[in-house]
Amino acid sequence: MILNIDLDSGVPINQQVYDQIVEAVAAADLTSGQRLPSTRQLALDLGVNFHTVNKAYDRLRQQGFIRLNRKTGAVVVRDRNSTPEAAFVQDWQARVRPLLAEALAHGLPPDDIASTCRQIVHSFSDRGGAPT
Amino acid sequence: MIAALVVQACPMLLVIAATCLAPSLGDSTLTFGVRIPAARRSAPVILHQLRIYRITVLSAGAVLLIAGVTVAALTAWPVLIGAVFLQLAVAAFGYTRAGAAIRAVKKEESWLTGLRQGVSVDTALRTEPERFPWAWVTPAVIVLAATVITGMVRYPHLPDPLALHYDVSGSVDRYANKSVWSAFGLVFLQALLTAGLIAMTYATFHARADLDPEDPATSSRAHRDSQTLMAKALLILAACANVSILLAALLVWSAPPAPWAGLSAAAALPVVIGVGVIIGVMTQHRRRVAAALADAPGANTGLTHRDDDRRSSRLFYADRNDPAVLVPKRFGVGYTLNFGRPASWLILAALVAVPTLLALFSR
Repeated sequence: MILNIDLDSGVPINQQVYDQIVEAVAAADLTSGQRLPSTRQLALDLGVNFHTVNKAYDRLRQQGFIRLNRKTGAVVVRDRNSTPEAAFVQDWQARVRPLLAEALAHGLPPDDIASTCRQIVHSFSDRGGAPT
Repeated sequence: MIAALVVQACPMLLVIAATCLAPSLGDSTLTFGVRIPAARRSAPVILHQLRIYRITVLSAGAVLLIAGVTVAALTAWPVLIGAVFLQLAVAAFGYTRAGAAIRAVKKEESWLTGLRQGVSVDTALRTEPERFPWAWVTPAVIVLAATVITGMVRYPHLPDPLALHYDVSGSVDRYANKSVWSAFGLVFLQALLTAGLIAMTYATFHARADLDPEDPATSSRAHRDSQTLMAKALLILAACANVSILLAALLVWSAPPAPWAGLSAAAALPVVIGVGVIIGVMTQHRRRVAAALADAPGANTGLTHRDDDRRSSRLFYADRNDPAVLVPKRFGVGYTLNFGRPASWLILAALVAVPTLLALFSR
């Protein structure tokens, strides 16, 4: 998969790495069993500090997306076909709640909010194979 | 005499060709060390600077070559070696000048407006890497083995003292007492060189790709091709270098002296050919890559290569925050050391120390 890190945006690099890997899994560009480079290797390729990549990989591991292997790098362990854990669903709903509240509080009609959500979710399915 | 001059002129001819072709080698997103966004690759200043550089390098080369050959013909001094260094100095100066001119226009016309700087990585280059072309190591190893065997066969028949070097008129100008060291010194060099070149080829094969954020997918495919191509060309160069050393060794091991002893400089020709092959292959490759990048629809990443913000000096790369030791060269083809990493200094020290120690030992 291809990682495109924007150096001029305000988003920290470790965040961009995390987001893009999660999005790749969502779009089925990455499936369970596929490998990712080791922390050191990815840091070298990006030209960034080891700790930046370590942060991203650590968060991915905590969220249950990857399993880290000392020697061979990382392996993706979840994808769209996995069974979601109840604990995750609860946590995710709690995180989504303020976002939706924000939209409502700004005056967005509920139908618009729902259709935007649907659009975004579908955009991951439509991408299918590699986006680039 | 003329033959000797021609042989001595060959490396100079190669260096002139190499310095002239250098802007067309390597990364097509770089010209004279300056990152050029896709939209600006045919900007007038670039074509203009390319022309100036090439004229400078060619005329300096012609002058140095003629002067060098004349002096060498009159005095038999090896001035053509000095000419090579002067030519490289001219090229370095031309490169710095051209880069500065392009950078000035880039800043003045704000070439980076509307583009965000980024870095792209294809994880598949690490998780599904190309396979190193180990089979191509064979020619170099075969030549090395042939040299060792020839040496072992001829050793008992060698005279004492050994003739180590012949001047252009065919007479010996250096002797050494016969011993394993003096007779096989070149073979040890050959073995070290083979091991060193193979190690270097392997290291650069796995070094960082520096993909073009404007079209990472095409750039990644191009990298796979150039990795393999470059590795094979380097291994052929190793074989050529070994042939050169074999020729030099044959001179030492020939008793009575070989009739072509006056042309001992001809032993360098296989290396010249090997380097010529690399330059030819990589020029062609870059042309193909540039065409592929120009034809490809692009990825609309909105990103362009990171700008020259990490270079303290234009000729060397030194960035302490970049973890890579081997980084792609910004001029010409291949990789160079990141001198911001201590490991690079150690490697450089080793590269200098080993041949020096070897030379000292063989005295």
